Amino acid sequence: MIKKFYIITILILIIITSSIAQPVPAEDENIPYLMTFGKLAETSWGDDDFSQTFFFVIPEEHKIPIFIRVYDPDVGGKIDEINGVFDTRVTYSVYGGNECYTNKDAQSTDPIGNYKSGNLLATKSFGVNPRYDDNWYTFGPFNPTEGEYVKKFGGYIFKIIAEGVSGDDGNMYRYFLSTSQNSNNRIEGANAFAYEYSFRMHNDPNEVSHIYPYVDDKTISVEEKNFDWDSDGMIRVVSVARKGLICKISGDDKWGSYKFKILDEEMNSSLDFQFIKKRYPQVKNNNVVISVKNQYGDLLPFYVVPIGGVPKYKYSIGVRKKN
Amino acid sequence: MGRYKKKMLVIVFLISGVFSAFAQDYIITRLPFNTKRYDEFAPVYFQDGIIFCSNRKTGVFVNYTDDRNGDFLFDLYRVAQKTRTKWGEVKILSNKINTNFNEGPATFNNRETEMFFTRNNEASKKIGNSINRKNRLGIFSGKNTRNGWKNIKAFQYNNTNYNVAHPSLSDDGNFLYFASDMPGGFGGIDLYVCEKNRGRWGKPENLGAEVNTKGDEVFPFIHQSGRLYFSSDEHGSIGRLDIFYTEKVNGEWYKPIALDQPINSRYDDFGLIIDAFKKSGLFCSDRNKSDDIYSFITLFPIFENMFRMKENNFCYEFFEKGSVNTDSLQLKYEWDFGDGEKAKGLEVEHCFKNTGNYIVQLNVIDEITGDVYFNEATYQLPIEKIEQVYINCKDTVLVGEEIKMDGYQTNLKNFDIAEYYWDFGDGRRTKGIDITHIYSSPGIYIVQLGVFSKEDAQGNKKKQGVYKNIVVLDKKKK
Repeated sequence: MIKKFYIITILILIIITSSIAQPVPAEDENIPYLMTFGKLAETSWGDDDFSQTFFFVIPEEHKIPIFIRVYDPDVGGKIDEINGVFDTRVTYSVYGGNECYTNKDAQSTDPIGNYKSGNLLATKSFGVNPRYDDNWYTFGPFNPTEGEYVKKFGGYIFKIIAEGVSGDDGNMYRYFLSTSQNSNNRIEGANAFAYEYSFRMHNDPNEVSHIYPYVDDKTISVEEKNFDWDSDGMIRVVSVARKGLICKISGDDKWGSYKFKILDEEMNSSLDFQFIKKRYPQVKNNNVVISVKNQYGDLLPFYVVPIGGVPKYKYSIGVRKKN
Repeated sequence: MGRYKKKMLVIVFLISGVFSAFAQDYIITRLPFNTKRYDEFAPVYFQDGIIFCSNRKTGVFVNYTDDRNGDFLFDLYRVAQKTRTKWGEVKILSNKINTNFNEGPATFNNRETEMFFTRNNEASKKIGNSINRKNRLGIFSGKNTRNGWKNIKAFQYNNTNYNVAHPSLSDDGNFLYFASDMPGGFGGIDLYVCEKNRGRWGKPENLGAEVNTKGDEVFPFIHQSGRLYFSSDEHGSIGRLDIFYTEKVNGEWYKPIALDQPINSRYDDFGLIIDAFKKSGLFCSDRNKSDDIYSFITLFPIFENMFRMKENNFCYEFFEKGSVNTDSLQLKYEWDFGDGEKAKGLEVEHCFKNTGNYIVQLNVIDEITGDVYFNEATYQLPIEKIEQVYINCKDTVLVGEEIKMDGYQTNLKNFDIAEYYWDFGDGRRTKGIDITHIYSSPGIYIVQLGVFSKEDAQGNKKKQGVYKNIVVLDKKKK
């Protein structure tokens, strides 16, 4: 009975809080680009596994076709990161149907096993392609029911995997879940999430990026793992009950991790991982990877539109009368 | 202007100022058992009435007289009080107490099992029907038993060469005050006290120059509060004997204060006793030719449940309640108190100047990013005065300095104040929301302010009161 209530709560939360999806990264994340390098790149460039998986949630009430649009899908031009010459190809594959999400390998940080589970609905590879440089490529249309229906999300899940299949350059890109092939029209009630986030940091030290892992009521503690942070500033965790916990960050081509306990007030809410760059010396073109696990080793999903809204510490003034 | 004259003027000013303020606040009544021709005086509370002395004629055939003036000699009498205004029949005390000579002012221990009283030292000698002028007064004691008065004993400090009289026993029974013209005093009759130690009375000690004068100080009455009432024809008496009181402050008697008219008059006023609450009592006066006993009651109200006034405190500490210890705080807090003042810090203190409803706001400055988040939290803080009667005045003043006091800052809810009553702790009282007062002696005084509400529909009044201390310093010691 409690489980049922929990699921209902999740459903309600997702529907309520995700009404303005779905650029990926979303506005509240303030992340410039997702990042995937060609598989021949050194991990010191910032990508640990040359693959990034995102899931899109389409509420079951949504009946009309959907499109998954990719901004700057090619690997070349002014946005992507060159390593020598652009010689990288990145493949985007969209999956739906049975087990596209529910397969355990699909929910891993590493592209191993059956992580490409489900039905391949569309795929496209990009190398240097000026047509799509600083421009959009659209997958779809897809009937929402082509996704995998997952009850706890109250809708259909589509999966998109970006893989650097060759070369050693860095691909910077974004997604948009749209109702339109040619423009970005949001889908009411939709959301997107990932279990590992590979992205490009801002160059401007005044810009703070965020991700929002969701903490359920079974979470007692979490361990954050970050890769190749180049000692660039700090990761600060803010929540409804936490004003600012500073986590350790990694150096160049290294993993860093930090464990902390979850407070009671933080259950069933999102955390705000803030990526605050250092001001001096400035680090540019910093590509990083982050994931968060609970005490069981289960990954916490990062919703691009945080469940429960952007977590904000609730300041409360205490007053004592002086004697 | 000479120093002496100036001092006198101050005293006259004080007395006249106070009289005009509340002379009408006493009601005095000549008690019905007084006689026109004879004297009645020196009452003392005893059981359901009083004991007093009188030289009224008690025998048809023989009454002893004073050979100096031919008056009858004094005996002790007892009279019961039936109601507030009715008194019973006057009865002479047992002949175990009364003799053929003078018996005078008496006092009792608090259980009324022992009486100290005044009597001629040579009471056993029958020397005709008159008394020899060399037969001085002394103090005697007797036990009040079921079988009558017994064990009559002379006080060890009686002396045939001088008078020892007018005893008054302290409530704890350890101090016996009396009047005496023994040598070594300040002149005339002085007041003395003996302290009981291990069941024996110590040597008489003169009460000192603050109390005793070159004139006569007589009829002491030590109240259970420690206040000593007595009569004197000095201390600025307005006419012959007047009634004064004094108290000990830091072991020293302070300058005696005269009681107000109509208790004191230009006649002899003396022999005052007063109840535990200082609300009513008896005194004696010869304002109607012979000495008579009068009752008095003060119309000044009594506020039974007064409490010590608390100072209004508008100072607060502000902090962020939900601080988690594990956080690595790199935040600064800026507090906007809503009264135009701001402060920075994780915990801050602020004192508001006035009452009011303040909205305190917390602005957070992120020291890492430099961002300022305004109004992250608010707190509505109503600041009110403590609900109490409030005495607004200086805490320390000098002798002779005019001190202003007022009750304007009184804060009582559902209490429509109609009257303000002040008791300055020096015997002076007055009415009014704002008043002035001058203390004539140094010391620590308890100032009381009581207020009455207007009458409600049923004619009931509410009352509340507070007290506070005022330190009065001697100008010389400033």
